Order: sequence, then structure tokens, then C-alpha cells
Amino acid sequence: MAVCSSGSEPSGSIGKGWIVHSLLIGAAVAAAAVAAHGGFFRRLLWRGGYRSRVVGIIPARFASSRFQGKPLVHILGKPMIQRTWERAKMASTLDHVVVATDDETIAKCCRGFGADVVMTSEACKNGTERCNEALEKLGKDYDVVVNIQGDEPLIDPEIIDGIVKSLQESPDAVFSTAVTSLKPDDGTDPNRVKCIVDNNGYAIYFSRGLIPYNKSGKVNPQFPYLLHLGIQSFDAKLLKIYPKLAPYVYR
Amino acid sequence: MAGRLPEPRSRNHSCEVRIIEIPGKAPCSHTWKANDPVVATDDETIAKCCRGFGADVVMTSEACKNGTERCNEALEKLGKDYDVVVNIQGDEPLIDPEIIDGIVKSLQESPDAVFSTAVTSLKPDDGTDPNRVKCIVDNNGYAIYFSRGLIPYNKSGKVNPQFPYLLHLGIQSFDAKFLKIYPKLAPTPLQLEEDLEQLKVLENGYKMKVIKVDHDAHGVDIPEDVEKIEALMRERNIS
Repeated sequence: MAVCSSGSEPSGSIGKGWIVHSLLIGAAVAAAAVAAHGGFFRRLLWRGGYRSRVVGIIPARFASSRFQGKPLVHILGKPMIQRTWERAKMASTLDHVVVATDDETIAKCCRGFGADVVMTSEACKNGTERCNEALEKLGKDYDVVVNIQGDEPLIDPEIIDGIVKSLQESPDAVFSTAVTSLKPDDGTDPNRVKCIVDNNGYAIYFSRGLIPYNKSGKVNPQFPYLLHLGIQSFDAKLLKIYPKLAPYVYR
Repeated sequence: MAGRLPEPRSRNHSCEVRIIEIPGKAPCSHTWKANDPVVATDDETIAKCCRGFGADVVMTSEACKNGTERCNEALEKLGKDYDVVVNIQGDEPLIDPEIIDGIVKSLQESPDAVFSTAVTSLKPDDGTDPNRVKCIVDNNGYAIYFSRGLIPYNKSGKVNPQFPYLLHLGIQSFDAKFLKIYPKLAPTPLQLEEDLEQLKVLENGYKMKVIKVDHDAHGVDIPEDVEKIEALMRERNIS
């Protein structure tokens, strides 16, 4: 994954978020992706406009262990999924925005405010698999898929644009995402995912535990920890093989 | 036992030592049983002790910030053309020579890596001990990260007795060309926060190979560890 370089300033258009590129969640996935696609990068570079066709997909399932029916909950009078969709539509790099759901009530609600909807299986294990199924059903040839989590109603469209551009600028990356400053109080909260990044903006690791750690074992109020945001873009060819990779031991 | 490996990579050992009394002998003499190893020190007492049991010694500066810098300075002073430098921490008196061989071979087999090291199983009790460095490795045997905190973490926040956590061992081998530039690289944020040298390698985007070994003794970090190691050695009849 390409990740924005930790030492550099965030680009002006991104605001408070920093863009993270990922070489992949695990190096093995990168190895598999590159190996599987041989001259993939060479072929892509032949075309004008590298990774130019971009789709934003908002996976939304009804069932949830913690919050049943979450996408439809009203936030100041509007369903949360609508708020997320409206923000996504403002991103300039997305050619198309689609809601991918397994539930007819969610689908109806979304069509009601003008969103394109793709019905997907209840069996999808996570948002990424749902995005992949939606991508196949769309039947069009996209280069980049942005997985926009439906429960981030205040997602900044510039962050979406930022992660798309970072992936377009990093042919060696197959995934990109964003981080922001972690509040010290969230250091010990396993629901807040921390991220560490190398000098060149590539993700090293993500963890529910505090990273980096230190000898005292306490959160360091001076250290600029990073919080992972629920926004990811994939090279479309990686997304196709990603669900077929066996779950990795650290997940 | 001259023990040179065939070209293109030969082998050199350097270690950094501190003197602690362990059953009658200096710990460094236990660590030193491999081929052509060299002790790199900044202290004349240590140097004398080592020459006393027959080790080659290279004097290095007190200003070396860590073992790796000391290895680099020793390498320059040796003036010979080595391809691989093995940094053997002097505070691992029970280091298994096969582990040294294992990390050298893994580096020789991985031209894209500049560094190799070893891990062993972490005891669950050590999961929350910041003096025990944990390591995580990808599907192809490359290090992802090292931390004093528990990695991987989980939603419960507790050590999972079923998970095969990995403990980093104090043994590293470097590609000699990389070792030359390594001290010139600026310290990196994660390295400084965790106080783990090896993170500078990862933060600069270089790759590290990791081998997993069975090694149930650990290093001597604090004075209390001396008694633990002595007890273990007596148990195993190691003199």
C-alpha cells in the first residue's frame, strides 16, 4: 500500500487527513498480485492516463452484531447512507458512485434519493468482498475501486480524491488509504485502528494495539500516532484476486 | 576452523560484549565459538578479557550509538572485503551456532533483502513485557514490524494463549554494502519511539528476512537475568 510519507506535510487539498498507500496488507498479497499479473504494470503504463477509470462503491449491509440496520439510521433527519453517498458524489476523481447492498430496504431507500444500487449477496464476509461482487456485476472496466465505508457520513470528498491520486501516482502500490491524527485517549481503544508508515509513505502495519509502542508502555502525548480512516482504494485487478487469498494469520 | 563460505558471499562475525560473570567464564567466550568472529569493543578491560581467551579484538569508539554502528566501524578497521556481517549480541551467551548459519543462509538466498534475523516462540507471559521484542512476519518470511508492545494485538486486548507470537532474537546479519550506509541514515520516528534499531531498516523501505528457530533461552538484559541464565546452564550441564 502506498501511504503518505509520515514526515511530509499533508497535501493542501487533503486537509487533516494523510493519504496512505499500501504495498498490500501483507507482502504475500503483493507478491501474488504482481506474480499473477506479469506484464500488468507494463500494459497499464502503455495506456494514456494511468488507472484513470475510477468507481466509488459504498457497501451497506443491514445485519450487524453491534448496530442492526445502521446504514438507515437518521443523522439529523437524513439516512446515514444518504449522507455518505452525497459526500462521495462531490469527489472529482470518481467516475461513478454505487451503493452495494444485500438488503431490499436499504436498496429502496438509496434509489429513493437517486443513488445507483447493485444488489449483492448476504454471504459477503466483509466490505471488500462486497465491493468485488459489485464490481463484477457492474460489468464495466474500471481501474480503481474506492471502498467508501457507509458509516463515515462526514467523509471529506478531498480525502477520496487524495487516495485515488496517490494510487495513480504509485504504480508499485495496489492499495491506498488515509490516516489522521490519533487522539491520545484513543491509544488504548482497540476499536481505533492505528497505522504506522515508512519514510516513503508506505504502510508498515495496522493494529488495534498501540503502535509504535515504547518502553514505558504508556501512550506518549508527544508522539504523532496515526488513526486509520475507513476509506480505501484498490487497483481493480488486485480486488479481483483479493477475496481468493486465504485469510492471513495476523488478521 | 577458518570456515570461509564460497563466493559470492563470505562470512564475518562481530559481536559487542559487556562483561558479566557467568559460571567461571566471561559470557563472551560462550558466544564466541563460531568461525573467525571478532569482538568490537570500546573498553580496554573487555578487550583484555577477550584476548585472554583467544578472541580477535578491534577497538572502536565510545561514541558508537549502538551495536550496528560499532559493527560498521569494526568492519572498516578490519580492512577486508566481506559481503555479510553478522552482528552477534554478546548478551546472548547461549546462542546456537546453527542460528547464526541459518540467518546467513537466508540472507544469501534472498538478494532483495539487506538484513536477516531470527525469531523464536514467545512465551505468553512475555507478551506484555516491553523488554521482550515481538516480531511479525509476512507469508514470504519478510519482517513486517518489531515492537515492544504485543503484536499482533486483538479486540480483547489480552494475550491470546493460542496465538504463535514471535520473540526477536539478538542476532542479525547485514549485507556489508548496506551496513556501510546504514549509520549515515537519519534515526527514524518509529525507531526512536520504540528504541529498536532494526526499525530504521524497515522505515527506510528495506527488506529483512526472518527465520524461525527453537531457542528457549533469552538474552541477559538486566542484572537479574544473570541468575536465571546460570540456573539454566547448571540444569543443562553447560560449564
